[in-house]
Amino acid sequence: MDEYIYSQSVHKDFHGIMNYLIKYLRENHGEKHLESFFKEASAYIYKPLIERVKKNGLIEIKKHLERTFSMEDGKFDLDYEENKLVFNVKKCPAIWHMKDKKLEIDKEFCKISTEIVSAVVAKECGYYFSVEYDQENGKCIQKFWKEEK
Amino acid sequence: MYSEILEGGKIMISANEFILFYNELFKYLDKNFGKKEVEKLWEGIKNTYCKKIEKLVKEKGLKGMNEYWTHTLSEEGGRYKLTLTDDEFIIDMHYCPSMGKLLNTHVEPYKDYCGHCPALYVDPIEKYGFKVDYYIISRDKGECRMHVRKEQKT
Repeated sequence: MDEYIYSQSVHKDFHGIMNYLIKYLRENHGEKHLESFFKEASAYIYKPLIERVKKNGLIEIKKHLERTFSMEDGKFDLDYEENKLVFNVKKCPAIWHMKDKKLEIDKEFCKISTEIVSAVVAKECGYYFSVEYDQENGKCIQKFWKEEK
Repeated sequence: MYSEILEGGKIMISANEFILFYNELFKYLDKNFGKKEVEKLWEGIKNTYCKKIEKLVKEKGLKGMNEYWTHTLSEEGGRYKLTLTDDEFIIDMHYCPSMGKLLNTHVEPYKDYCGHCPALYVDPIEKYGFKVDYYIISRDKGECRMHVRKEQKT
């Protein structure tokens, strides 16, 4: 991400609108466009981060996740080695914000955020990606890794 | 005559990358389906997310608008002046926090990004006997003005 993003505070209500946009895209334009949009948008929006990862490795994803989740008071653990990163989300700020506001969370909110968005970033950087998520409880475990040659 | 002026200058940003995805969705819909689909999205957001401002305008009029934007802009940031008198409510946006996010990253703003604000806010306000004039002064600087006054009865 551009450095400017990390120097700012957050307005969490936008998680609710993001949730709405996911539902809107699916209902009005179908799953194909929902997936297509998030893949295209992620590759473009995360371009600076992708470039940094290509240059410096997984440490850049680690820094990005630490900064982003800390800004929003998320709870997480990070297990990092040179070619492997395990991001264990114990309390997702987006899910819990929407629960606090009693919003109906889209069934694919976590899928879009992790399986699609994070996967695009990983792939663009040349890393493998997997995720196990528990949307109901706002938890997930995301793994980024490179195969040893 | 009652008047109140609030000036804000704190720079804050929305939840992570939301504004960037928001902007990209406008571009995606325009490219694939045309501007009318972007306007339809804005209509949907207005009908879903502008109930709070509508309620405040209905119950408190100009003071309700001042209350809404005092809270919202204090969270979102930017540089602005809010003016409230007995007859008018004005937002002088000198640096929009939303457009500012786009201007400070590599992301190209949608050609009519600024159009989403009047699309969201004019109807809920004019519904209750007010007239709204929106002026996009400079998209490149994130500068605009929203001027609300009581509708003249003829």
